[in-house]
Formats: sequence, C-alpha cells, structure tokens
Amino acid sequence: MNTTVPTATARRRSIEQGLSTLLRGLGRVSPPGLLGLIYLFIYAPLLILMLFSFNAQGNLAWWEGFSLRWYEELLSYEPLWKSLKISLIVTGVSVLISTVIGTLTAYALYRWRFWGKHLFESVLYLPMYIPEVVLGISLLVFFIFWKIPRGILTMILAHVAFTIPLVVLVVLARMQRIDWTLEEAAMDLGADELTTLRRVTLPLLFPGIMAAAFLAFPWSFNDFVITYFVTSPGNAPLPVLTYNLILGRKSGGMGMINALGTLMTVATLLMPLLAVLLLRARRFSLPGRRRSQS
Amino acid sequence: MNAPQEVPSVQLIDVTKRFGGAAAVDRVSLSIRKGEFFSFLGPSGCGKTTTLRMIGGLETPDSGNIYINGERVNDLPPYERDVSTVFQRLALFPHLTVAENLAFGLKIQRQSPRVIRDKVAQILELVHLPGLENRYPDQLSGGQQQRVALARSLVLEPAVLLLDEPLSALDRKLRKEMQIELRRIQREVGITFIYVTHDQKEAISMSDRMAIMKDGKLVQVGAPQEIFERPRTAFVADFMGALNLFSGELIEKRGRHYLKTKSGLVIHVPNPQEPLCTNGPQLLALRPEAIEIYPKNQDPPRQNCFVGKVLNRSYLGEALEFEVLLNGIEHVKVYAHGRSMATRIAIDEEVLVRWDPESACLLHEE
Repeated sequence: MNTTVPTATARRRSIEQGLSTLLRGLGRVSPPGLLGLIYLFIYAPLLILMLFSFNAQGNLAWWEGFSLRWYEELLSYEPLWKSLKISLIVTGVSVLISTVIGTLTAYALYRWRFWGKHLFESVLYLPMYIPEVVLGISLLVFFIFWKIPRGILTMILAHVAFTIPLVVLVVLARMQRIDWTLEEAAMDLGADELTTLRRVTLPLLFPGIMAAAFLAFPWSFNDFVITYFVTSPGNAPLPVLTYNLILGRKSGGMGMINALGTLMTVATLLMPLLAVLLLRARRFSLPGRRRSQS
Repeated sequence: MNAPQEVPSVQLIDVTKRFGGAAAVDRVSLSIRKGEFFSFLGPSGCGKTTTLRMIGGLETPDSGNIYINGERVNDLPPYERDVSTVFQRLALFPHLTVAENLAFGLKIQRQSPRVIRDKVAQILELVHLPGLENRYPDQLSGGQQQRVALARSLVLEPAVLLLDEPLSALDRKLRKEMQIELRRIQREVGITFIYVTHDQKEAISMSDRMAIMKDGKLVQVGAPQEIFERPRTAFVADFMGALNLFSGELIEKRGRHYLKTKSGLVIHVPNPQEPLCTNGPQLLALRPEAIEIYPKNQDPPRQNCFVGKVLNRSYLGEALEFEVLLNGIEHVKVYAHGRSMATRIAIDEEVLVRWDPESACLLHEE
C-alpha cells in the first residue's frame, strides 16, 4: 500500500507535467494554434451542426454523404417564410424604437442632471441581469393583466423593453468620448440648436447609435425565452419555429433545424461584420485619438 | 486713432455671473475699442474665461449688460451674435475636412458654393495653410489645427473674435511663433480680438490693452507697459513678476520720498505722480532684475544701497537668482545677469544690493 500512494501521485504529476508541457510547447511553437484550440472548443458544436446540415440523412450520428436536401426542404417549408417575416417585423420595429428611445435616454442621462438620476440609471440596466424566464413571465402577466392579446404587438413591446438598456449603454459609451465643446463651437459659428443637432451632434453620435442598433438586432432576432412567453401560437418567429420543429418531431425535422441553425448563424455573423465595416469608414473615426499624438 | 464718440466694440456694464453662491465674475465694467487687441489676464479661476463666454453668449450674465457694437446682446444666443470664438480645445469638427470645417459657418449663412470656395481659399492663404483642404483635423499638427480653428472663426468676418487660451496646448517655440502670427493676422483683418490667457508674457507682447482679473474682479486695466511699470496692487505687481515687496511708512524729507520699513531700512522711492496719503503703511514693489548685486568689498555704498547676506543662489539659465536677507528680516530676490561679477558671489557671503529708485513702484493698497 505504501508504495502505491507515491506512484499514484507521481503518475498524476507526470500527467500534469505532460499536459502543461504540451500546452506550453504549443503556445510557444504557435500561439495562434493554442488560440485555435480554444476557439475549437467554443465553436465545435456549431461546426458539427453546420456540417450535419449538409448530411444526406436527417440524423446527428453518422455521415451519409453531402446533400443540400435539408436546405431545399427548409426553403419550401411554408411556415418558415411566415416566421421569417414575423421575426424581421418584430426585430426591425423594436430595434428602431429602442434605438431612438435608448439614444434619447442616453442623451438625457449624459447631458442633464435631474432628480433621481442615479436610481433611474441603476434600474435601467436591471433587465440585463434579470433571468430571461422571469422577465418573460412578468411580461406575460403584465399583458394578461392589461388584456393585451399576445401577438406581434406584445413581442415588439417585449423586445423594445429588453433592448433599450443595451442601446443606452453603447450610446453612453460613445458620448463619453465626444468633445462637447463641439456643440458650443457649432452654435458659435451660427448654427441654431436644431442645426447643431443635425450637423454636429448626430454625426458624432452616429457610430455609437449604429453600433447599438447592430448589437440590439441579434439580441432581438435570436431571443427565444422572452419571446416564447409573449407570442401566440400563430405568430412564431424563427427561434420559436425552431423549437416547435424539435417538439413536433416532424419527419426530417432535425435536418431542417440544422439547416435553419446554419443560416441563422451565418446571418448573425454577418451583422457585426457589417457594423465593423461601417464604423471603419473614415468619416466616422473617433475624435480624441489625435490628441494622443501630441 | 479713434473718434472719441465712437461706439465701443464691446462694452460690459456691471456684469456679474454666479456659479452656485460664488461670483465668478463680479460687477465687471469695461469698454473695448474697435480693432483693439485686448487681453484678459489672470490666474485660473479668476473669471476671465467666464467673461469671455458671456461676451460670446455661451453663458448668460446674472446681472449687468453686455453691448456689442452698441447693441445689447444679453438675451441673444451665440448664433445671433456677431462674435466668434476660438476655443481652448479648438473644437474642430472631427467628422469634417478642413475645408468643410471652414465652410461650416458660411453654409449656415447660405452663401453660394462659389463664394464659399473663394472665401475658404482666401482664408487658408491668410493663415498660411493652403493645400490642406481635404485633410481631417486629426491629420494635422497642433500648430496647423490652431490655424484652422482661427481661420474657421475669421472666415465669418465677425465684429469681435474671442480667443480662449488658444495657444496653451502648443509647445513654447510654436507658441511664440503663433503669437507673432496672431498679431500679424489681427493687424491684417482689423477685427477686435479679445484674448484670454494666464501667461503674462503672452499678454504683454500681444495686447494693445489688457485687464488683470482676480476673484472675478477687474484689478487693473491699461496698456501692457503701464501695467508692467506701474502695477496698482501687490497682486498685479506679483503677477507681472515684481516679486519683491517692501511695506513700511512713507516719509518725506526735503522734497524726497522715502519708505521706512519695520526693519529700519530707508528706501528711496520714486516721486509719486499723484498725491499720496502719507499716513498709514505703504507697499513698494520691485522687480528682481532691477536690483544690482555686488560683493561687499566693492565701491562704498552709494544712494539707495543696502548690505545683505546671501541665503540662496540658483542658476535659472538666462540669469542667476539670489535670495538676499537685508537687515536680518527683509527677503529680497535678485536676478543677476549670468556674465556679471555676481557669478563669483557665493552663499553666506555679505553683499551690497542697490537699485534705481525709479525702477521701484509704490502700490495702491488692495
């Protein structure tokens, strides 16, 4: 017995050493390789899903050969188009509304002092910490209490509610980097308040507002939990449709879900890419960077 | 140069501005002539920038009146006043090119594109920046940004140009250059310039007249030379670099005036230009560079000469600074030229100091 304890410890130690040597070696030889491993860990499930969306058979267990069959079936699946339309309407309208309200809120929070500002600000971000289920249920109760029929309207209201804090955060971050003397300068050069807003303030805030909208879009588009509580059976947006497909055990459902998941992932990836491209445009580069030169 | 009845370019009458309880600007009355280069000089927090912002319309006075070209402007927003400001932080629009920055005000005035193009080209010529039209502000050097900010205001041909420490971000050499540039441009365009600074050398070298401010109040207004040579209060004297103050009783002997300090020094003072009240304590200000310093074994003391002991000596580059103790009480700062025989004087040595009575200045009590 006495001899086994040190052996076990030694073995464990040698495994640890081997592992750390491996990792360190990998990190030294190729830091991108190590990083790649981490990314593989995060994205492998997604890659499997994407891969199997091209599988000839509708299962996740074995590969039957390449086929676009699920995409064909998905695209000819009538409810998909209806769901896509609902998703786009709900997300489009709610992001528009929350971007406007969020920007105005951020402006008020940044530029003005008013009674209860601190309380207002801390309560504002609560939806970001509250569990989605709780938020979903409370919204549902709220709508039932006010006898608002569930449907597109309730979904829009719910999405506006949970995307506003995000918009405020992003726009506020941008405002903190703006030199507000610029507004005074504009007025000094003859611009009245409205012209100043249009020609100076909004252009300067624009990157922040766009970033907020681009972040809020996938938040709203991909939301399942809250949406599930406030929608009605006939109005399933895409995430809810996906869930229904799984539940419904429709023949070939799995394959279609893989295909749908792949499409949604690609679309979601394109959004921030678009945002980055937009923000890279020269005119919207951030002020204040130049000061670091001198 | 100006007809006596001419309307002042800017006139302040009893202007007061409070932030919270404290008066940032306290009953300031002042008249600035057309085409004048006028400076507000004072330490930070003295109210000079607030005064400027009230003239520009970025702050509203709590009481008093502001007139620009004879028109009361208290209630006019900045965009309806014929003034333009060059801000301390320049405030160039980062999302617009140089040409678009310069055209900003002209576009609001709805000038035709051709007029705008011509004026922009003209003003770039004036500030020596042609060829930079399509750059963005962050692609310019500090000095170039400075010129663009100036040009953006000048292109509107305002009646008054307000400058809020516009050179404070530049290094010393560039600042010197820009001071000369500003003066040249001001002479060329003939607009009233109102300049705010805390740098007395800057104000002295550029201004036609200047106002010294302290705690929201005007302390002294006048031509730079007048203020430099005849400061009215200890604060102005100190601010203008007359670092030595003697306090004592004023006495008169055979038509000459002397200041008798508590330590017993009897200092010859210049003949006062206005009658002085000889009772009560008086202050005498003296610039460190006006004092001559000699080793004690030099010529016998002449008029207005005192014996002292060197407490400290430091090298300032262009001068040597001595701290000398007179009569065991009075501390005197002396700047000696780096090549005079003062270089041989060491700490703890006994020395003679003297100065021309006319180089000292009697102060009005504060």
